[in-house]
Amino acid sequence: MSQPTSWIVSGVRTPFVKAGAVFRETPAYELGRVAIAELLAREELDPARLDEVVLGNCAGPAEATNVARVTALRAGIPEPVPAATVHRNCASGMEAVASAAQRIGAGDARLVLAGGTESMSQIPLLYSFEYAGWLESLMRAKNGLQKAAAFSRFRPHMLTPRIGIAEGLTDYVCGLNMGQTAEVLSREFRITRERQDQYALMSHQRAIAARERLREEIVPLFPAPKHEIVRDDVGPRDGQTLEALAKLKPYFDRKNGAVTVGNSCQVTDGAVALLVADEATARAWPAPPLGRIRAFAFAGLSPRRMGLGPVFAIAKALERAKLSLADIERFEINEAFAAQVLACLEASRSDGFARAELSRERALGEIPLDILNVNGGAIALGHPVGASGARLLLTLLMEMRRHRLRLGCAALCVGGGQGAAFILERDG
Amino acid sequence: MSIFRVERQVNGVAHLVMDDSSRKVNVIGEPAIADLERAVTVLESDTELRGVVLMSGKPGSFVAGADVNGIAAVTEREEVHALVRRVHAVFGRLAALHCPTVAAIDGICLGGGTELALACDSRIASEEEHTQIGLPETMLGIIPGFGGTTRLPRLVGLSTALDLILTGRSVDARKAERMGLIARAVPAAWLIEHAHRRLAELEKRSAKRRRDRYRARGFMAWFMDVSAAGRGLVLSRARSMTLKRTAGHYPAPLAALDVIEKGAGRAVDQALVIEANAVSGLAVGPVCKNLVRIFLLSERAKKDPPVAEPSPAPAPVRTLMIVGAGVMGGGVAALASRNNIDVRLRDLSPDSLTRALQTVRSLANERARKGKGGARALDAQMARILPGIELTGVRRADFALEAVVEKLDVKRRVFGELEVRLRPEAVLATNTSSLSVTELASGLARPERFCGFHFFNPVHRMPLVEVVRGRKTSDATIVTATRPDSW
Repeated sequence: MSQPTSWIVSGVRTPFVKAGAVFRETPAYELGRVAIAELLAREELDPARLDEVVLGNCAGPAEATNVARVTALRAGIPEPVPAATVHRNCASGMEAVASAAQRIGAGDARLVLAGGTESMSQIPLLYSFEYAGWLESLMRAKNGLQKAAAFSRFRPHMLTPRIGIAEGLTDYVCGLNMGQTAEVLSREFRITRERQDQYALMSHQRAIAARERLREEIVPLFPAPKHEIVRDDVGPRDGQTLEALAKLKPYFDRKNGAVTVGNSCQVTDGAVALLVADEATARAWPAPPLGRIRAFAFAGLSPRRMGLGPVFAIAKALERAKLSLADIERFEINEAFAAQVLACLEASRSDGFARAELSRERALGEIPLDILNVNGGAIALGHPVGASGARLLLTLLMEMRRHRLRLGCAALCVGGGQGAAFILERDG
Repeated sequence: MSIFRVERQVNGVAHLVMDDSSRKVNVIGEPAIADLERAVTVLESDTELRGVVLMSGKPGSFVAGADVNGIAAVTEREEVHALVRRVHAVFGRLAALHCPTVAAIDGICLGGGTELALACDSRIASEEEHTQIGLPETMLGIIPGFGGTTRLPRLVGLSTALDLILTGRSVDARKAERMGLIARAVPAAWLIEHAHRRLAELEKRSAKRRRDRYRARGFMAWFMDVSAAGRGLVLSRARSMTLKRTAGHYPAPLAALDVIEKGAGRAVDQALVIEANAVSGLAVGPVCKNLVRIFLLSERAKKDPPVAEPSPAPAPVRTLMIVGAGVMGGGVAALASRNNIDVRLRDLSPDSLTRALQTVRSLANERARKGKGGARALDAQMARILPGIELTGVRRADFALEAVVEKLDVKRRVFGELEVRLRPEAVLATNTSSLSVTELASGLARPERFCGFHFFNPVHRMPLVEVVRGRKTSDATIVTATRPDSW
């Protein structure tokens, strides 16, 4: 299966901000608007040249069901340019880039704006079906007697809201929430609380050290209502200590668990915009393009072990790229949970896992910590689910450019039991 | 020459179509009145007529008002009085027609146009945004003198009539429907069908009760608009507020109050005599003459080409780059974004950008509170502004405006940075109030696309821009900068 070359010519993102903080009143389509408009501004690009806009988004704001279209129009992209929203849970941002690459490969497009946008702050509370049904019966009641009867059927528990974000982060098929799937992996691969906390600490330290570097990919935002500038990700904690992390109670399994909010990714708002182009467009670009897509793959696995998704997807993508793990010079693996990333590293170096699960003779290989998530990961930066996939690609390409590297791999685990991986390439 | 056409329809209804072929919009002047007299005679003689629909032959425009040039020219009180009485007579004949009459309004309907529509038994209007109905006469120093001051309170009640006549504001169809000024707001596409439907409804009423008229709904409305005590209170409140607002310099609103008060309770014919006397005096007075002159000058400024003919076509301004987010830059950003122009607002200081965005938001909020656009309009306006600390997004701009500190070297540096990034056909302008435009232009690679574009503070309150031509500024640049409809 060969995939025609698509290029990622440029990209920017908003700062990533913890849900409920300064982006609280900034909807997904506003985060996306700024990312897109700033990217167009930075590239001095006439947006009429775009063939399509594809954005990843998971929460689906009720007032903007095709949030990509709303975002595109608000960003000043002309009406004739169509827009689609794509959803592959945590990999939605990668799905958007994959869709763009496939459109380009099929000859349907030359230049696509792809990315992702997510406001986890604005995921609403929902009324129960029971309450909705009761309201409907009340509205249908015509006379006083019917109204009284309807009122008598009211029960206070009907008012208990369904918490949109909690339901969204729970897998419907296996019934586990994402944190519980991380607990499953921490037990299967025997990853201790200490190792998880150490990994989380490293993520914060790396992100803090990378502040200046990360600013290269970030455009500032002036969010309502105060309109004060936000330049940096707010997640990374300067002075984070192991002791502080150790004090946290396990969140998903309070008695015997190891996964805490400290060694899990943060719930975050943010948006990413990338320009994906065909070969000819990329070659004619006024500035050197960021890099090209060598291969990508999506893979499925048991929803209970969704955190291992990167291993399956990386194996598939490497095969498509005709490369081995040792060829890769930088990795970005999304840090949904420290336990989950560490489990991926274990699985990838295990011959047994390779034989049992990947139908390979030998292990995939070693993913050294010193070339993995070198500028920090989602534990520190945050994980706006619909946008993260695109963020990994952007951060990886910027890092590859900084060190003149040729091959990099970005991957993430996907709620519901999937993995996604991209192999990116530069001329060095 | 015919201004009014009578078009007989198959169902026994006649369309009375106003379409002055010598003008872009219909206005009520002597020629229109003379022709209306002829047309009404035709309608009167058609005894089998079932109804009349008054409409405009100009797409999207009903009647713009009275002929303001005529008002400017007239100097003799008697001359005004004679014309006004003639209008009263022919509008009265239209009102007294043996069959029902409905005005079908689509587009601008002001002053004399509204008064013509008020002569009909009932009115409907298109809910399109371009439909605006009002009586702005007091803004020109006169009162609605073609029957408006007399007929409006009878149709919408005292307090609503005072609101419309004293402020001179115009309203859209939905608002007009709520006020009772029109019977129904309908889609423009079905305007004529709805007019016929309205005629059929009026036909069912007895001849005496055919005209739409005011009915107080609720005690408060009854108290303020019907009861003697309430009416007295409303009139005296209106009088004291008017005095406070005009400081006694403008006689027209007070005259309108007098006419309404004296005319109340009298037959329409007698009330019109009072109205005619009042408007005749005002129309030849100095206040009216000055207000009319200002109006005509500003109309001319909108129409007259600023350069010698043949003037080049103005370039549309869809994206505006503003460098400097101070008081002026922020004010221009608010004005432009409100008028659907995308704005790239750049300042080196994030704090300035914050203040500018807060200003835009509070101005937009104020407008939203006054009922001009809701939360969605506010959100759309904010989304048209892209604040930034870097000089990017320049190439998309059709027009770049510098609004930085008044220092020659700082401004020149900004122009240099902008010039290399702007598209060659984009206009580059300075908001300077004190520096020479020609001097600022020296050193530019393309001085022909450079001009002064000076707003006054506060930008949102001062509808005035000083466009300054440098020695090398091209006609095309001046035309784009002065084109009023793109700003």
